[in-house]
Amino acid sequence: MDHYSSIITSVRDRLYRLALRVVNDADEAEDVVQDVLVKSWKKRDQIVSLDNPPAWLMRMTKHQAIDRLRSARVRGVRETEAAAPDHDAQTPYRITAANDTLGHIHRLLQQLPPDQRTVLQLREVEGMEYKEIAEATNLSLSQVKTYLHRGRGKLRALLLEQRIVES
Amino acid sequence: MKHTTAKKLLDRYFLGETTLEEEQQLRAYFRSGDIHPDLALYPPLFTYWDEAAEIMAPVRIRPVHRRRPLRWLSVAAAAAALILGLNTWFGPTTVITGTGFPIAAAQAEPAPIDWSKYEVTDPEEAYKVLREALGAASASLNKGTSFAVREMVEVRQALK
Repeated sequence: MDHYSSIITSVRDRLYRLALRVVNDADEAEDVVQDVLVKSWKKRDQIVSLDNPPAWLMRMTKHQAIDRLRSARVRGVRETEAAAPDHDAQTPYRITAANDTLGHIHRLLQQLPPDQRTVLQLREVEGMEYKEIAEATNLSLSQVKTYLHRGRGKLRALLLEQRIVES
Repeated sequence: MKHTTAKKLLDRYFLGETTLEEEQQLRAYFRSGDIHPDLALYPPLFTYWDEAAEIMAPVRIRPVHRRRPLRWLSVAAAAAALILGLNTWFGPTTVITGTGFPIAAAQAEPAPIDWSKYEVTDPEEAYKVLREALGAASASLNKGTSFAVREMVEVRQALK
C-alpha cells in the first residue's frame, strides 16, 4: 500500500465521523468525505509531504461539511432535521437517538455552532490534544479551550435541566 | 478510582481543565459500574461519546485512485464517440489534412478537454457508454463500407 493510501485508510473513519457530526446526515457526510478524497487525490504529492496530513484532511473535511451545511440551510431542509437525525437504521446514531437520554444529548450537540461541536467531537470522540485540534480546525488554542469548556458546560446544563443529573 | 477523586475530576472536566489521560480515567470510572450515587446519572454522557466513536465510514468511501480504471474506460468511450463524430462528419473516404481542410484540422486538434468533468464512476454505466459508443462507431463504419461498394458498382456500370 502506498503512503497516500495508508494515510487515507488511517483517517477515513475519523473524517466520516467529523463530517457526520457537522452535517448530521449519513448520505451528506459520505458525500463530504468523498469530495475531500477527490480533492486530496489531486494534491496527493503535496499531502504526503506534509508534517501532519491527517490534520490537513480533517481541516478540509470540516470546511467542506460546513459549506454543505450552509447550502442545506439555504435549501431550508436541514435545520429541522437536528431533532430527528436521518441515518441508516443500524448505525449507532440511530440507536443513540432511540434512547431518550442519549437522544437529548445528541440533539443538544446538533444545536451547537459547527465549530463548537467540531471541537467537542475531536476531543471526546477522537481523543485529540488541544494543539492537534487547533491544527485540524484552524482555530486558536484559546478558542479550542473556550469551545470545549462552553460545550461541556452546555451538556451539563442540559443534563441538569432534564433532571438527568442532580446538582 | 476513588469516588472523591472522580468527583474532583468531573468538576475539572466540565471546566475544560482535564488532560486526555485524566479523561480516560474518568471514562473508565463510569464504565466500571461502581459509581457514587451523586454521579450516578452522568454515565449517559460518556456512553454517548463511546457510541459515537464506534461509527465507521461506509465501505463505499475509499481512496480515489482505485477508480482510475473507470476513468480510462470513460476516456475510451469518449474517444470512440469522437472517432464516430469525425467519421460521420467527413465521410468514410475523406482524408483529413492540416493544410487542405482547416476546419477539420481544427477539430482534429481540439483544445485540451477536462475529462474529469465527464468521469463515469459507476462501472456498469461506464461499460454501457463504451459499448454503445463502439456499437455506433461500428454501425457507421459498416455504412461507409456499403457506401463504397455501391459507389464502385456504379463506377463499373458507368465504365461498361
